[in-house]
Amino acid sequence: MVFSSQIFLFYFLGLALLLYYAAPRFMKQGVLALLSYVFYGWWNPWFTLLMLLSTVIDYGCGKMITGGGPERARRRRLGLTISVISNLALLGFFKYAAFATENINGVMRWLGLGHAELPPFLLEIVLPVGISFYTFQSMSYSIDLYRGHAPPARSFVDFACYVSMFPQLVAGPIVRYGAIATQLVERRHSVEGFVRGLTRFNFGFAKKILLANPMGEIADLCFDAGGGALSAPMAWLGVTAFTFQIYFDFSGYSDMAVGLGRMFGFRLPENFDSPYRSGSITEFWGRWHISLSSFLRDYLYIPLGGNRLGPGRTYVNLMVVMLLGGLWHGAAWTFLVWGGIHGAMLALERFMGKKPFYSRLPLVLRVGFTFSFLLITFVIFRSDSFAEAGRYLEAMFGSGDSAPAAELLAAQVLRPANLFFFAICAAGIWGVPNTVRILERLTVAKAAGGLILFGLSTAMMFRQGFNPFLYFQF
Amino acid sequence: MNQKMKNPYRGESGERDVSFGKGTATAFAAVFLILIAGPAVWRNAIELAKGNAGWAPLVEVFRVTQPSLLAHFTVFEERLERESEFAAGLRRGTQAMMTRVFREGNRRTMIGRDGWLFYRPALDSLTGKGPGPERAAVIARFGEQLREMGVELILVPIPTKPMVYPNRLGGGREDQIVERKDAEGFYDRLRAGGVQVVELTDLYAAEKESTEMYLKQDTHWTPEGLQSAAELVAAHVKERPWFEELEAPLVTTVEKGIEVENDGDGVRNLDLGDRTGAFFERERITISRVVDTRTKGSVALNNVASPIVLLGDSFTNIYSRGEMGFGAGAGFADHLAGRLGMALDVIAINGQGTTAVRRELAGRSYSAWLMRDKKKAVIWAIVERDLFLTDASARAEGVVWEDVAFNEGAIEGAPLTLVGTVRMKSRIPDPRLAPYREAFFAVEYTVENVIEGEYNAEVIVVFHWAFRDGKMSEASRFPVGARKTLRLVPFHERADELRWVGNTMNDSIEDNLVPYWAEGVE
Repeated sequence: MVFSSQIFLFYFLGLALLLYYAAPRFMKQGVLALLSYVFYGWWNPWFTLLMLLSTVIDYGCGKMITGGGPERARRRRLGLTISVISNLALLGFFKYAAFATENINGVMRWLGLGHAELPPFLLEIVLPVGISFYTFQSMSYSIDLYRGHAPPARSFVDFACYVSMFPQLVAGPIVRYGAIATQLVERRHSVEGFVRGLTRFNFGFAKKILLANPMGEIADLCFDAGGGALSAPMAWLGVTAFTFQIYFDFSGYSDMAVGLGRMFGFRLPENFDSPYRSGSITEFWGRWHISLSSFLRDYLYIPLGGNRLGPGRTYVNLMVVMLLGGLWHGAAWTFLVWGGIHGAMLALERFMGKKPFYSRLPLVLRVGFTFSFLLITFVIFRSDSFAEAGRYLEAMFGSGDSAPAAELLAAQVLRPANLFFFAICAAGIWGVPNTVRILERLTVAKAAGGLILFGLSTAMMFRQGFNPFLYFQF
Repeated sequence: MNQKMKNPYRGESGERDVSFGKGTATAFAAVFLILIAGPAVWRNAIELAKGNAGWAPLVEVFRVTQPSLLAHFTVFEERLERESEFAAGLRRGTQAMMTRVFREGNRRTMIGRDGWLFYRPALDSLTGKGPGPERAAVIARFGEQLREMGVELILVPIPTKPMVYPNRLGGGREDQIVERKDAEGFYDRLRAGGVQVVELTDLYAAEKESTEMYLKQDTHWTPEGLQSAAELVAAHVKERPWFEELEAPLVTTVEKGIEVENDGDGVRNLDLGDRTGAFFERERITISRVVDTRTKGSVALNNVASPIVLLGDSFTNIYSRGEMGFGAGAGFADHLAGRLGMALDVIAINGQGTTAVRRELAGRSYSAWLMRDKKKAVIWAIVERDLFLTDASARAEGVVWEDVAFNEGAIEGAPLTLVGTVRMKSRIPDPRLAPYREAFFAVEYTVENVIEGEYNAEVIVVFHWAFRDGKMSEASRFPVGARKTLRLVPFHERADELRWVGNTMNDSIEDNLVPYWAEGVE
């Protein structure tokens, strides 16, 4: 189920809160874990078995890592190795097997060797929702134990609760075990905290429904255009709308996740900090999907050597991290290339002292250039293929169509409602503080405003129909 | 081991304070909980009060009736959404607000200028990326199947409203027509494969200067639009070399000036509920009904014996079938039949003009024999939207493009003697009014006992004489429930001697079985 659905808002959430707060303290983790399994199993009951398997493996690995006795060092390394390999294997199989099969066959055809006799089911594997998130979380437990950043979970139930916790299960933020370990043992429930949580949830819900979804409609119209319908202005408008959509969709979801976590007494990490106000790509990656970028920094970039092995190796490490980061988003060459372009830009800015080549410009222009770079690279991210991305970029840079169908597309895109919400989005990104800043100090007006936004968003949600979150596909 | 707790990434930005106390916080929490729990509690209470007739979600979620849990969750959630009056009320109210403030439609209907409504998928089919290569291939293969049976395929792509009136949506000139850049290439590929394509776009471009070709609030063509199309298609068919040899016994008149009014499907798709009247008046039009001069009724459109098949969708059904709310007997099939002078074999299903209609044609008993022996042409009138939606959009709209297989009809155990009970009878024409002296009709029997031969199904379809020399047969008087001993031969052994007439079958008779002819009845 998704947060923005009738079943979640008007059935599951209320029941979950009731059961959680009715449960005695020692049972709260178990209740929350069970509720989370129901939440996840609603997508597909079989997915829960996979998550349970990952949980059992990593809990066992945690025992190996923190256990005493002879050959302790070897057992610790073995536990870590099993955890990392098993999680990456799960992720690799379900997410990348079909991609690998297609590419192996492609290479063999190119070499004139026919095609590989690989089992056909490899092309039909269903990607379990959220697997990219919970496998990383689960791995972080083993890594944090190995590094001594956290004590082991008190019980299997505590650990299962951490892995499966529904507020952040399917689309983050990626919560590392070290950041939540003490909260699993002891956390404070207060009505003020609950209201802070529900207000944050309401704001996130509004971002998703009132801002992200309308922008998604514009983006879909433009990116799905063909047959002579995409003009240059519409192409720019379409990718800008997508850029707005992905931000409000994902940050809205993160707000909802953080808010829900708070309603259950947890303080989850922030995931966004006004990324489109960045004056460089380096700054952007410190503000966008923070939980992923910090995960990759701490668990991949630094172990690879970070910036400690000289500038050349630093640039290589940056590229490796960003290529893998791109691939994490999806099993497609477009994601890999998107990540690679960002990696190259990061390397270039590192070469220039962590500054962009336009660093001497005024802030507004630096932000403009950075945003333009994001727009262009998001074309590759959004497109299904390089050919499509190429056609879209061609349209953006002047060879767009002016056929009568283009006027029809423009008539659909430039509707008053679309322009209104587009303006609200732009104001929300550059004109007002982000949700975190707004809700730093919670006032009666803000809490009441949140409730009003909840009402408006619910009404609009019913009008819009089914609306899953973009990052669910990752 | 180092137990030092490290939070390696940036933590929360500071939460400075909450400016209100516990009492206010409790009130906010209570309001939120009422908001999220209230609708569900209310709905479940009402449904539980209905007893067995109710559907209380909190009970039904545990009542698994589907083959899998996933199917159960999916069906449950769909029903929850579909039957939620709370959701429907909010949806309609919000849509009314959006329509009033922004002139905004929804995912099905786009509001253009001066209240003109456009079907969004029709727009997508014009501005989208178009279909994959398989689409044209499916049509070409169907044409090839028909050609092998000696039947011609005549494709009639019906333009969509935004093609003909783009200026009524947004910019553009009044005289402009919008076509996809790749449309002509698509049709040329079909022509190269032997499919005849009768395009209506040029006709509509010329006629729209003086005549409204589309309804304002509905997806479909006006009566004038369809009549122009019928004229053009009829002219094309009459030029075919085989047409001259056909009998054209149908004589019709046209009853003009029949007024009808209805809400267009564009309005219904907006789902404004009680508020509809505040935004849109009912669409009023004048239809022209085609009347069979012999029967004084509508033209027969289910004549299986007709040499011309018409496959269609809602564009064929509108004004023809009263269920669409715009009158009856005045549709494309009626006017086409009148111009051709013969009843047609029409298979038209709303929203299913791509594959379901072909499947029904091909799925008839002995369909291959029927096509080879009785048919000359299949006219396939299908809205262009369904031709040019992307593969993904087509799937989302339930538009399916698949091959069909014609039924050669295997014979099982002839001759046959069995005992059966009458279940159903097809309609028998009045011999005083029918333009023929003999006719037969279909009876569906429940098989009780097979005395001689082999027959495995529970039901059997048997053709009997309905009347001969104008006199009703004994079989025509068989009541439902009557038990008869039947001596039967497969129908195809007698089909050449028999004259096919209209209304020997109706929709309720099972048409997937091998039919038999009654040689004797006791």
